Amino acid sequence: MYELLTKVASDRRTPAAGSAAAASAELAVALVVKSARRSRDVWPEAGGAIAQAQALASRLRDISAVIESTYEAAMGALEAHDDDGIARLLPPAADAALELARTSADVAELATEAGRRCDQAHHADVTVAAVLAESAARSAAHLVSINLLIRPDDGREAEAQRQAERAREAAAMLANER
Amino acid sequence: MPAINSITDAGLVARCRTGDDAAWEELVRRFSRYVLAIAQQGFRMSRDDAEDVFQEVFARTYERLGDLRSDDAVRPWIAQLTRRLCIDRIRAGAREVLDPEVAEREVDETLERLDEALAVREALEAMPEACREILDRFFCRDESYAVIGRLLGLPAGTIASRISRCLAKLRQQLEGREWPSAPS
Repeated sequence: MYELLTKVASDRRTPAAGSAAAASAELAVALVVKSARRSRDVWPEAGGAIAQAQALASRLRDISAVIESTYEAAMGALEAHDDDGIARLLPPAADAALELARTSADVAELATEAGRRCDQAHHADVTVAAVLAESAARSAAHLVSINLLIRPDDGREAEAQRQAERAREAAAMLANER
Repeated sequence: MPAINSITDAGLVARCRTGDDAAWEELVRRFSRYVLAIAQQGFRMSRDDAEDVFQEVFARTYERLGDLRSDDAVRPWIAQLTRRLCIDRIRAGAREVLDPEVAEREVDETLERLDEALAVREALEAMPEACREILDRFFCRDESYAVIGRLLGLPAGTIASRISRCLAKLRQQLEGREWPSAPS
């Protein structure tokens, strides 16, 4: 985490917003895993939640790498005033950000499942997990919209917003259970 | 008579011994990915070399199936045969190889992973269709909960718990499974 923070704060172009958003979602996953690991006595299927969380974490790492590489390439095209390159590179960047929105919303949903089943001493952990995942989903939806500047009617923007809303609902549900 | 793709490895070997062509086809189908994975992932062979090994493995299996002392042990027997043929091929090509001990260890690890993956796949195939599908969609196809819910007509918010329940069943299936015996 410290290494990522140092790299994000550096003067290099990447890692930047996409990696920061994906890291929020990964932190959320880690909190879900912790709550599941510490709830095995009261939650017989905690292992299933851990397996799902690990699968989501693996997807997040892959997405983060794709977001950064597509962003690098798109910025290179922008700086070179390469209009064809920009037109070619922005859609994949939007696809990667949309995938981040979907996966973050799944993390928020898994957190609500954990909130229902885990040892309630860890309810705050999974609530924070859902809030972090919501923030990642909203950030990803923003990245989708800016990567579709040239095609504002693209259906991906609406889908990203729906995913962010799904994450928001999950976080709100847990927060209201206080 | 059970469908040929659902009979056990031992049952399949027994049918191969009687000269059943369909059983031979199924044997090759069932173990082809395993053999190619050992050659390509374990020994880092090219696709062409791995395919040559593949041909030789099944030719020898055909000739020597009678040497197999326990029909249950066909998988480790094929693994051992593949391993030996890969080593022969690498030696014959006089290629630079890793330290033999390191290579052996890597192949052992690869085989262990492959055997685990095959065991999980077999256990998955024995699961109810609904569980098999939801696990396949989430873990193999990387589909999101929302997509799975929409495609399977399940209420949103229930997918994670369904997956957990199916994983618990899969674990029971794996724990009750008989593991392959040692090579004969």
